[in-house]
Amino acid sequence: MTPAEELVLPWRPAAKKGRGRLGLACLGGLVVTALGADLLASDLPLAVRVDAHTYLLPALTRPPQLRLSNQGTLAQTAEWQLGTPIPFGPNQTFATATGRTDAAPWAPDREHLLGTDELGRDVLARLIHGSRASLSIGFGAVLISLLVGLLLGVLAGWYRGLVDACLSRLTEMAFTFPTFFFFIALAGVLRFTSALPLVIGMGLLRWPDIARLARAETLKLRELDFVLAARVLGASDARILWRHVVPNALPPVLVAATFGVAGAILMECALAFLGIGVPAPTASWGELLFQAQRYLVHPGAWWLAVFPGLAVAGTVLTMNLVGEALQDLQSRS
Amino acid sequence: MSALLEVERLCAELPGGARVVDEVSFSVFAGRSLGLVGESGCGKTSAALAVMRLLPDGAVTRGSVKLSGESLLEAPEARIDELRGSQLSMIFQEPATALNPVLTVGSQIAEGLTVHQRLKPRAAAARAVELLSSVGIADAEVKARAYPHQLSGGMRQRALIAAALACAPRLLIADEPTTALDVTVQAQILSLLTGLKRERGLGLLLITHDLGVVSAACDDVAVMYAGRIVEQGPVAEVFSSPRHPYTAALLKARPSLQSRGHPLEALLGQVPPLGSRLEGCRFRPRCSRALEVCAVKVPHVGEGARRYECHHPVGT
Repeated sequence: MTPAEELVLPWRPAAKKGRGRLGLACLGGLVVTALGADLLASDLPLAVRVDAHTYLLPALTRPPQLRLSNQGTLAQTAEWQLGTPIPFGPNQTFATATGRTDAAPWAPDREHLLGTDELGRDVLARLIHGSRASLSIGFGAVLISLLVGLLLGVLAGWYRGLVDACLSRLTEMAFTFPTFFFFIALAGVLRFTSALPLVIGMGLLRWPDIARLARAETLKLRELDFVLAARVLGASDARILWRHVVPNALPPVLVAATFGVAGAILMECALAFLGIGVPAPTASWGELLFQAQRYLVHPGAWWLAVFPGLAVAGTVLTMNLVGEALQDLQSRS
Repeated sequence: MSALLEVERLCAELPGGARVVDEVSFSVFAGRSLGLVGESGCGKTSAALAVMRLLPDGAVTRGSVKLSGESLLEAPEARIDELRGSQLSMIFQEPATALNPVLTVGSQIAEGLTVHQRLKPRAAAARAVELLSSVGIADAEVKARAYPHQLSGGMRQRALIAAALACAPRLLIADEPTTALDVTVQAQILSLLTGLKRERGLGLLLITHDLGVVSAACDDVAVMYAGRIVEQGPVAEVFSSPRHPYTAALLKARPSLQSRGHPLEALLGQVPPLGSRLEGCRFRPRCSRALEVCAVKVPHVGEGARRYECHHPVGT
């Protein structure tokens, strides 16, 4: 062992463990942010008493009586209100409690921690709400490709022969399919009215990695004694696949899926950056970056690009940390 | 008494043409155990897998295998699925790999019950606990919820036996069930198996390379060499007066308390490679008693239970 290795080795496993925990914590934070976006950043408060009425969670229920109000106006009219941590909604234009009237985009300050865009929409609120689109696209697409890839991969590995040959060629074809350019071409023909086509499209095109891993694992598992033991007990193929093969093939597949989430989020950002993505006014991180292009140099609104960019980079890093930790866990067992 | 399992002139060729089982005939009776012994690679396990119809796809089997008169080799796949687990079952050498690491022991024991008796999960789980305690596991309720890695080797083998016997099959094939276990645990597992044989009238086909296991747990023995059964008969007879030189050599190679301090007698030479075709007696190249005629054909000497294949048997 060289002196350098001696220095490095003792803390390496621990550091790895720490990185995995950090990744899991960040992922947890992201999911909580996405799920609770309406409670973290909203134009309406968490609770308010106005006109002799108490409204609980108007941020979620959005009562029609408060249609024209926001936390800025309610501060004047309400008896009391319990605000959200970020008192702005993602689509609330020229949102200000201090009544400023100068031209947006506004630079980060005490009121708008990450600044606003040219319509005076709070960047932090849009980031928080954008996490929903980005994460659901990432996880949704991977969920679909996980189902498709597992099914095809396990069948190919289990039945081998002609089934394997056909499915493997299909996998190779799908592997060479240029997903990104496919979406660009598709956007030339039709307009996406929701994120659903993106999710389904990415899910149906990004499964080959998973199918290959699932096939390799199945090839290994089908020779193991416990599969033989299950056949000895009279279990059918379907039962063996579902109870014995799929659960044991999952670990490496899940690692790939974790990295796949990062890839799908990046692809959504890249597509949105080119203006092909989740339709406005839904906030997604890619869409924020797309909007930032025009104001980046003049008037120098750096905050429009930097913070969404950090969010994307951080999320991708998080998924990679989680994937690495899973991989580590699996190679140890 | 008619045999529970009757195997006649069974041949098995693996994909690629290697004949690993050659004209093998034996019978297993209810309440009795047959030990199938031989060196590694002599076709013991292949013979058992052929009986279970579990040889790899593309393997060719010939001959006849009858379970209570029902032919297994010609039965349709669906019927075989029905029979496996409910009529005939099998346990393996390595209890560590024969259990699925991601399922609890209890749910794996319940597997056969849900497949064959269509028990509801809760009923199957309760039955699994009973089965576990019937194979001598204390604390069965706790152990049923444990995962395989949380159990010791002996306990895993007990759990596998419980799984194999869940649907009360009439024939149990045990492929080297004690090889991977400690000596003391070996004895426990063997007495469990012989106990089950006696109490339930189970027919037991015990595959092993350990002659000690045979004498401890078997009523009959069949000695396999290079795919053929060279000698078979009741254990006491075969062990006291072996006729085939291979059996005699195996018995001589055993360590014993009397011959302490002396080197063990080893059998020179190697088992012929898998699938090699050798005319006449396969043991001839290693046999000190070989005659010219041994190179030409194999004799079948003896009737019924006591048989051997030798021109120049030991003791003549």
